[in-house]
Amino acid sequence: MAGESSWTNHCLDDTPREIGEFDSFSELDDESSNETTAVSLELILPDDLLERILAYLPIASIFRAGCVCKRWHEIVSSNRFLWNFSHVLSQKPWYFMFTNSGEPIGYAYDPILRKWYGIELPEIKAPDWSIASSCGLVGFMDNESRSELYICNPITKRCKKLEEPPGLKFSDYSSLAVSVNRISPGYLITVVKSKQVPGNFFQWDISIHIYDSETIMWTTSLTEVLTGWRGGDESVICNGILYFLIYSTGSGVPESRHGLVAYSLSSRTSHGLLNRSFIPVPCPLTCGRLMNLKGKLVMVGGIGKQDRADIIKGIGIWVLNGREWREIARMPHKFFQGFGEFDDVFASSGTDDLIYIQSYGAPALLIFDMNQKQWKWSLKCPVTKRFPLQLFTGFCFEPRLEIAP
Amino acid sequence: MADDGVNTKVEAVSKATTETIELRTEDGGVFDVDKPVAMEFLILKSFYEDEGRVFDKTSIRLPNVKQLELSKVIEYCTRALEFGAKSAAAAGDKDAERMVRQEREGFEAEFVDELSNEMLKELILAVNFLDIKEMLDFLIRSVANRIRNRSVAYVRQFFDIENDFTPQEEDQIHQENAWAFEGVDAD
Repeated sequence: MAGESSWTNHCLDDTPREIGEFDSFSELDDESSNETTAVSLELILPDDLLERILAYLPIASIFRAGCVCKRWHEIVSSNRFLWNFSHVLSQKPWYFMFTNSGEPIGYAYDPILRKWYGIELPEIKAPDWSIASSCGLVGFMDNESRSELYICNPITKRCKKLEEPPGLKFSDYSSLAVSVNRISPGYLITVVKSKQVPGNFFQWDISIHIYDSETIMWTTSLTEVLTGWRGGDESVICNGILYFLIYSTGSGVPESRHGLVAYSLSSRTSHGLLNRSFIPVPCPLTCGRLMNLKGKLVMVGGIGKQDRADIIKGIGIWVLNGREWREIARMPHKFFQGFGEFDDVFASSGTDDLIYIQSYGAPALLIFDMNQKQWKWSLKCPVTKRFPLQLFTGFCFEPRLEIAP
Repeated sequence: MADDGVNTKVEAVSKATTETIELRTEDGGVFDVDKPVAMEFLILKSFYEDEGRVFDKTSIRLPNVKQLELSKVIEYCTRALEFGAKSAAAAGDKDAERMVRQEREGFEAEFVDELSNEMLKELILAVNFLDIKEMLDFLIRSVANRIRNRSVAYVRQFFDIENDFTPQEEDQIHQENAWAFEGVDAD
């Protein structure tokens, strides 16, 4: 192939050079100086250019790049590459959908490439485990004794088993939340447990437990008995505040079926949860899903009928400003209908700019882009519902290469 | 398809009275390049500014650049400066800004479409040598686009790289992240 030059051999004298060498080039020449200068420049792709090219690739491509040759494998595995380019490397959040009611198997959706990947999640034993994620780390906690707790990067599969959280071993409800601090770097994990006081329908024991990766310790920051309210499964940490949904145990007016607690992780008050931290929800809800979108608390809620608050008539998205809710969007009718038979409760999870919503009854996934205020179906998940009671659920996470527990 | 070795004068589209520099490529090409365009080549800019040289009509020899590459570089940089000027003029007017952006994207798409894989690689090295930041970033993104959903074999061939893994080593890498190797474009 005359005239073609390869990356590795561009010298005039044809001497083979080792990969990685980078000869210095000659000075630019003024004709007036009448000098002849050395002309050969070894034209190999230098590391820094290669890194910049690889940094623009989607995550799957970066793994394949690591298979090209040993030099490339070293580059994509190096801390320098991962941390220097983490701002470019970060992709839009993916959604992992469990496609089997018994086993924790499923597919992860990449909304940019519109592809479903058959990823294997580390450590998790069943799809009904408590799951929480922040900045590329995902926490998994078992749903029975709440004693198995792992924090993982689902992409790199780096995992850490954590000491089991304190508090009641067999609580009725338990909610997990994670917050990564990229600067320290470290993370906080919170578990909110609630258990009905024996023999008393209206009273519930609530406890909040906080794990700090820097101290490697659990602290129980609050233990309280609530009357008329209980905790549940839904919590998220946003800007140092732990938000969790509470549910009315009385036969109160529809307005009060749900409530939000905003618990400051810095002041960590030990009591008076309802007095200090209660925020009513914007309207009767059938269910609520909490998420942290770029530091804002967002709730996706099933909007209940006025007279029958447990029947869903639509889905809304609200953002919390201080103690006030502002409605951002309402799911257009055609998408709501597109789910077909839609239960009053549904799965929803989001981070960064994207909110994912799916029905428990089918593997259809809807995406709302907070920036563009646009609704869009995902590419169809490569799985079909095989029997009537098969459930689909899932969670959202940021695919990152550089973060490790 | 460069002219064969004889003087190729490339004049910029801007003001007629702009100063020019003469650049000579390693394969005998000669280009008269407008000063604003030439100053986008940071290697030239520092040559003049750092050394405090007078900007008279001297001739610079670029030992690592061929004439086909240089003509492409000049084409891109000239248009980039024009778009910069148009963008500045459109500032504040959202519609006008969007039009300039779309025009630029159209030009860049066409520009890169015409480049063979080989030419794209050559250009990256030339532009890296000349130190033209914006164009380098554009070319880097373009290479990434070309290889993004391709197989490992394709990428090796694109960069002319030999596989130095043993079959067992390669297998292990595959196993660790099997999902990443599925669904690539056919070679």
